[in-house]
Amino acid sequence: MKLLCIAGFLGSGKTTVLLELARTMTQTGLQLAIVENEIGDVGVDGGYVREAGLPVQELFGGCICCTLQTGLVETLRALEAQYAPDWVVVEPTGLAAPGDLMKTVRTYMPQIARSRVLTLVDAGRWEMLQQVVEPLITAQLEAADVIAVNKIDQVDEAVVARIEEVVRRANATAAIRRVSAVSGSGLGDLQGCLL
Amino acid sequence: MVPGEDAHHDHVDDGEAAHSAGHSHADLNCFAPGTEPVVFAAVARVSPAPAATSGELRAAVDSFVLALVDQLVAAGCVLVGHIKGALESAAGDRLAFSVTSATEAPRWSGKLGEPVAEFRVTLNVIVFAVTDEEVQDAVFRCWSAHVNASTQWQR
Repeated sequence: MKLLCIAGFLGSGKTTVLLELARTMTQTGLQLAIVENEIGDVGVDGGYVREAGLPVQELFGGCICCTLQTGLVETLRALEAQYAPDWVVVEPTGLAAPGDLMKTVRTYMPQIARSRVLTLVDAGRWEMLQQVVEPLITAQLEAADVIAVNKIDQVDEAVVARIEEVVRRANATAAIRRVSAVSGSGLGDLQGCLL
Repeated sequence: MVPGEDAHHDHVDDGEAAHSAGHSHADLNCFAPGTEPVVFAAVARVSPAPAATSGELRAAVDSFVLALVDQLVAAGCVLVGHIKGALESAAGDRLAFSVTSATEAPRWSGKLGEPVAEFRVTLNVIVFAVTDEEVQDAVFRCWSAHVNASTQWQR
């Protein structure tokens, strides 16, 4: 089993990207299982995944990078036993630090053959998020193997270029891609970069 | 038991609908003092009177969200993380909305069979720099003011 973590701040497009990647991955014959984490006691995003016909386990009432670490490990073990998927795709809350999440995975799930962290950047709200939650955004970038600057259709080229400069300073080694999850632009290239 | 589990797990069993989103990112100070996120999550059983169309429900929820955002901003909210929800019928139809801005209307997907006599709504609100009480009060007050329906909030 391999693991793909799709991280990013609230509203950055995680669920939209997850559904599109899952659709194309399953078309190639890969078996997927999804883990949806919501910090509230009830969730909304799991409904989208169920509608897409994918097996999903939901973890509510906390964050799998910190307060629900045990729940994450138990869920991954259960999915492995029940579905033996090729990939498990984990969508943490938008408040999660994926580096902490991946430490848990590497420590307690050494049988995972490969893990990848995709961090999404919300280009449309970049400036505001830098003002209010810059440490969290930076932590999400630092943990990424691949960074996708999403919602490029909402901003002009100069803004995207500025974002990419800051992203590159936060993470010198991650691959950076430009996407619009809503239009589908760039998602094929993103998938090729991830898997 | 995984080390670190439950150290700040203060938003699961306390019976409140809105919670400070306590994290335990050991070496990461994510939020400036006074700008921490607050999480509101709740489910309600809703019976419009009279039964409504999907369009009428969307318009009512649009008004609810705009009023909610206005009230939260007036209370000092500096960032809307997200406000999202799903309206689900007993038949399994689902109409969902999401907004991540204080200045934009919700985006919608899905549909409900009509007429809608009863549905279940799941609400999830994460906003910054307001209190649990301000969020909870704003949600209940704005929902009552803009959605013409008998509503039973549940946990």
